[in-house]
Amino acid sequence: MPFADASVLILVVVVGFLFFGALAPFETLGWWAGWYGDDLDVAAEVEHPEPPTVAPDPKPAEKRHFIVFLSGIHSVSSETYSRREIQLLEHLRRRLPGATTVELFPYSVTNRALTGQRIFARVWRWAYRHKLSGAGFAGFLINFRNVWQVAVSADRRYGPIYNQGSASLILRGLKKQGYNLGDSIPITLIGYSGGGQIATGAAPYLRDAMHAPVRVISLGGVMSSDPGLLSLDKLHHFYSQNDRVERLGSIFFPGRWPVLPYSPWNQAKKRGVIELIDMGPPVHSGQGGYLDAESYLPKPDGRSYFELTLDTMVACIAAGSPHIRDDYETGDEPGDEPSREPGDGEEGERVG
Amino acid sequence: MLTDIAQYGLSLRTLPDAVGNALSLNEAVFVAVQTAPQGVGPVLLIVLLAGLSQALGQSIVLFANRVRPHRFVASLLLSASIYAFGFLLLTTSIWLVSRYLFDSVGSLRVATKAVGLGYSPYLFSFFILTPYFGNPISALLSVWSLLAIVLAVRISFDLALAQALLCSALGWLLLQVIQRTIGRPVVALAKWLRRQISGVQLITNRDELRDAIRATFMSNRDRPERNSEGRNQPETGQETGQNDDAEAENRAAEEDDRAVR
Repeated sequence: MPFADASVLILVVVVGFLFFGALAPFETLGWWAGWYGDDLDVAAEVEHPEPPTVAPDPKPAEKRHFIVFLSGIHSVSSETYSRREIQLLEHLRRRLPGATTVELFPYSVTNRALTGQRIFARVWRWAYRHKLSGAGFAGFLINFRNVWQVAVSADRRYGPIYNQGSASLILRGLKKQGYNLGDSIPITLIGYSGGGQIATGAAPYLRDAMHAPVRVISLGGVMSSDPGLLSLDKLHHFYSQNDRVERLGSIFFPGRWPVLPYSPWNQAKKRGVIELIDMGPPVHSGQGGYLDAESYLPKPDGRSYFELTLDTMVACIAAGSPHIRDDYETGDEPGDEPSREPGDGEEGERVG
Repeated sequence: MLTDIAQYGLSLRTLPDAVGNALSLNEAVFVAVQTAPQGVGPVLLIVLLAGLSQALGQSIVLFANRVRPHRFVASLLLSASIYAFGFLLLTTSIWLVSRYLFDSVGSLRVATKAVGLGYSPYLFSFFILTPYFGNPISALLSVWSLLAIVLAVRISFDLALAQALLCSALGWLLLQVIQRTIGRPVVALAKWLRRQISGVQLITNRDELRDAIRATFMSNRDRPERNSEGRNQPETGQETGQNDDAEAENRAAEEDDRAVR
């Protein structure tokens, strides 16, 4: 009987898991079908269709680069970033005064916070409150919900729709921050964890729509072998041997297996679109994670994991945006490490 | 409970038990429905629900074509009905093959009950919607249902396992031949009904659908500037599948005229 009970329990868990997953695409599909009204009208985002025929004038210092940050799966809105993510953004702004940052909640193409106007908003508010007070299950619920949205983005059936929605969301965020479409100001999408997949999925649509260079920095991103990888300008994928979450992407998505050399991921690696950057000892998140300012690399380097990540990120952004580099060099604060280009082997062992 | 089925037939009360046994490929349930006095109605209910579940599982096509909510529901119901009709045709094909190729004496009514129960795994077709797991689930349900149908055919027509497998395969083949020959008007009618009810020119091919979705975004890049009167020129991309009903129906009608011709 205990065996029978265990079987029933496993069955219930599996069915519940799949049921939750089966409901996951409905928000995206409903948005696409126009069931929620046209408040996220793709057409409304693109106002300057013609690509610039001449090189753009030098941009004012405050608009030389745009950085869009897509949070990890723990977030419930663009206002609920983790303490470490907020710290990262603050330091990026300080280190790159010529860059404008945009913060978005990437797990809803309708840009509705989980705690906003939703049927289950009360549940998510409860979960978020309890998560903040340390309840593990509440955090798990939020992660579980957002992981399915990452799966929607990675799915070949829903991906084209979801990623277009994400691109539209990013466009709107950029415009709100003063991005003039058609100016071709470089954009860097930073996706942390599941945000890496969302950023990679949205980037080709953004690039096509805006005629601007679009780079992606994936910080421990859990990513599929998205066909859009082949039309990316550059993907800097930060990983670590100790990051078990990041590794899930290379396990669960067959296109990332080395035995499939013609998959988009492996082709993009071969063409040099993907740069794999080994970050050394950090784990995925929390204490000892990429953004932990209190864990340190061994001497003689001695930087915190946070500084290592920040330095590497800044170098990647500078490499893709010549205008920003000057700002970076002059914008350093006393005590900051000098900038480093993500050249051969400088950020760590490159295996891509 | 299986004795209840044998004695009183399939009913809403005994249906869950019958489905459970069919899912576990318990051949006793297929034996029980042989002697059951009634039960075609409840079996058709199973098939209709399986059809509805499958229509929902494949509803990405309706969403991607931007079908409106009320038309979406109507399209699901139509798909379920067409699915049930397909089931009846398949059962008839299998019955014809068993009768004329294997000299079976099993009745069409008994075969309908048994094969209908074999459709039970498709009740879970809704889970095909699940991201990442959708395709494996679809394959799993097909194999599961095939096994149940073969078992049902074996019991209904008193055949050996290999004969039941061959009978099912030939029955399916016969159905394909019928659909492509004398059944073409019916297939065209089904297509026409789908378009009429969905209200749009449905694109069902996966690659074409992907291209159309991308084109929607890309075409907005090229949308015309405002004209001198300050109005937008007519747009093409974003409104794909979102035109007003009358226009979409006209297009669908033209398309169907071509299909019938």
